[in-house]
Amino acid sequence: MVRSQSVGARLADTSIFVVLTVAALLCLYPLWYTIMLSFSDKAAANAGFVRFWPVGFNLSSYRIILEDAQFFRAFGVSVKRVLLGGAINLILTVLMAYPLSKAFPGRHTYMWYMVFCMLFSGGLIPSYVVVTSLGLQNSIWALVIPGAVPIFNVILIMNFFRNLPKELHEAAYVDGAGPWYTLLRINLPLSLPGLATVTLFSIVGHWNSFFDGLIYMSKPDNYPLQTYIQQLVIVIDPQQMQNLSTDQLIQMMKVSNKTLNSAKLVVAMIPILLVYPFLQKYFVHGIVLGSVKE
Amino acid sequence: MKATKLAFTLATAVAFMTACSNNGGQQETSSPSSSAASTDGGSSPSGNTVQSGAFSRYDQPVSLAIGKMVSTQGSNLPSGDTADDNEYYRYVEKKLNVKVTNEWRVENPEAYAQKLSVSIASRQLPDAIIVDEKQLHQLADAGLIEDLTDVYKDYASPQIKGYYESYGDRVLSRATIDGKLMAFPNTQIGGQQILTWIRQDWLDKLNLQEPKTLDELAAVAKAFVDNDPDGNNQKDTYGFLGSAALSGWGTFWGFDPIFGALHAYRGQWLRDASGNISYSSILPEMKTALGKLHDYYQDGILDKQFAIRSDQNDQVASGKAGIVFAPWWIPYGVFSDSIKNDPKAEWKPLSVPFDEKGKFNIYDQNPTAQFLVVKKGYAHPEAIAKVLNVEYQGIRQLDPDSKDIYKGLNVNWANWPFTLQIDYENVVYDTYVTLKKAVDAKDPSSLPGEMKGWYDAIMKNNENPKKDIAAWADSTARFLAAPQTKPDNLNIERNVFFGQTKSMDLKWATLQKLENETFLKIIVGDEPVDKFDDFVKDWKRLGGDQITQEVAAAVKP
Repeated sequence: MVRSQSVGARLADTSIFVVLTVAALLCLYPLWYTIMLSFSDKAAANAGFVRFWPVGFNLSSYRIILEDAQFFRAFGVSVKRVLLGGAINLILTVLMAYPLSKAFPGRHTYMWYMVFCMLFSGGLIPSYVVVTSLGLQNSIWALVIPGAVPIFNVILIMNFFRNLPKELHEAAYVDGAGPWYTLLRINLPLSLPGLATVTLFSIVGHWNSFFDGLIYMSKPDNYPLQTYIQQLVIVIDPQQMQNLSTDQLIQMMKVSNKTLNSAKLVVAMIPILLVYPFLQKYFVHGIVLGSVKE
Repeated sequence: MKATKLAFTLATAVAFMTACSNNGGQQETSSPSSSAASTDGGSSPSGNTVQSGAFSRYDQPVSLAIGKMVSTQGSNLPSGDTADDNEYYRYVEKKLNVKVTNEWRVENPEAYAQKLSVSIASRQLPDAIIVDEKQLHQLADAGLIEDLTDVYKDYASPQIKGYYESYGDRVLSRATIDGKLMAFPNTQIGGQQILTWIRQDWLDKLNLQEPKTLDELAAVAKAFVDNDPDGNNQKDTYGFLGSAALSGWGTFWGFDPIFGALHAYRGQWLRDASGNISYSSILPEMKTALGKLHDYYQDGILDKQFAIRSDQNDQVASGKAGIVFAPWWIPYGVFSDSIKNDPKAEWKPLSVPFDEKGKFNIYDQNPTAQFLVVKKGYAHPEAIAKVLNVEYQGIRQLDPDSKDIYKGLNVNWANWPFTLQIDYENVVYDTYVTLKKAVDAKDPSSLPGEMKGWYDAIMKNNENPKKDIAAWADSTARFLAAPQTKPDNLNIERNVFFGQTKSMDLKWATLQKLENETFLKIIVGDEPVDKFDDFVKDWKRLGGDQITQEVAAAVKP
């Protein structure tokens, strides 16, 4: 980068730098706040004493999590879901995108069909009826099968494949490579950035979704992690409170615990924070540069 | 044989004592089951078989699938037992040969509502489930639930009937559609009115008297704002907190006590002296009350930001608030944090402010909001009544076999199959009376299990105040606040209509929104107080008049 020497330009640089830094800090603060809450004393947290640093530092929330069997069961369900769902998503995406990246009769029909399904869905109740009448409720399959083909990802990868230089395919064909061989040895290695992106989409999507877990699982024991957490941090609105009995209200009040919930959020963030850096390097640029001499 | 006999004697003794102690004035409906059975027998010739039918065991196992909400956090179940399989469920199975299973189960009300909507919409209802009033009517209209009229008559135990009868017909009539009882309703126990909680230590510090009238209360609030009651030389304390919902049962920081002192009631259907039905929010008293609140807001007595806060707990827990409007059980919640942050805090519940005649005015609480319905076609609808009978014999420990289940573990009662709260209307106050007797006599031996726990908490807290927060909460709620649920000068304005009329389905939400927004604007000064008159006109024009007529027709004089 070449630095401009004029005062005005420097001033502009500085102010841009300051604004962006502030914006970045604003994005980080909620995260930081949650982490600090999780290390604070429960009463101090409920009183709003926590600002930038923990008040009454303690690890009791994390100790409670370590003893919470249901948290780990839910964690296990989520990990299983991400591995299974991520793999299924990736395989089906590639198998779907590869043929669609070639020209063949009827290709448009397929495309329209897919886009239609992406934009319009049957809605909650029909989906629920289909899933339950297939007997999938309460199994991990109810969470991974309904979204097995992520169409947005298919379109992304399809376009990635189409942007690969045609000459590579021709060269492979001349050397006797069939479609499978081309897919596995040419397309996939060259599409790593794209594949990393869609895998990350899938992983984050699977990790964060909570609603299907709530609907398709009949017992909290089978909930994935985000459903489990969502059930804890929920705030009851006054309208609903009027329909609750006194015993239920007292029970809800006793359960509410900001620090513990923050600690659970923090633990739930860790896997995604770990995966991100490893996939991020692929986002930076493509790697087909220089593979063809024009 | 001897053991059985002894057990039986004990059972009768315990049943009698609990009934007497628990229910104060209601012996005749509740006490020894024999007497209730005989009143029953008077009307139906098969009185005795009815009695035995209520608890008779099935020869063949019967299965009953339910959907329910129970929080597994802090349920105190011993390890190995779950919300799906625990001693309570096994007890019911042992007594009745009814195997209750949870077809689905969720942790909180929000999830319950979602799960229930999906269940209803896809017509995949469990055998028995608790729904709200609107859903009850939908399900009944669609013919998806069983008529329980005969089940109630023939199988509900005298205990259960006694609970319902303590409300007159205010509860059962709500579950009755076209003359048929379509559900077992819950009962919202009485005494849930919003009390005025005041920091006694602040009053002492500022040399103030306990307020009695609204003006005195406002003066205390002003002193709390201006005179630095927390002694940190900063003007950072609040007078009144408020809620954007303004008022209502279960609405913490609601203005109900202030409204009550001015004879204003929000959202009630009242009958005036000449028998006319009117909607209380549009009466002139409400205008006066809103004007008062506006003055408080202007003077800074009322928290300037009350309308935009999502959570007033902060102010209370951090010790910045000295006056809190909340029901008797708030010590279980945010007050625990307040005490922990500042052990000097001395929360005192009062039934103030009084009106000019010295009365503390409240309005009628909706006595029911949840309805236990049975899926159409379920083979044994009477099993629901029987499970409920057995469950409540167990919860109230009228059956000796139930006494030792989870003894001393303080297991959440929602782990029983049906989370339908049914009790006598005055139970909070009557429990206090019983507790007080035991505390005065220093003799807890006659108390049933749950009350024994509170007795111990009271004793523990008396010895070492505020050392054990849970004991402090029990002691404050059950012993300090419970008597305030029925003070001598209590006056209850009776609401005559809780249901929904036809036009309400379409228009009520709009009218409620109009009301809430107008009232908020008047209080914070965005609109002048006289805007209230326009609101009344609009309200009537936009369907209020029509709804009022429908309500009047529905309640008939």
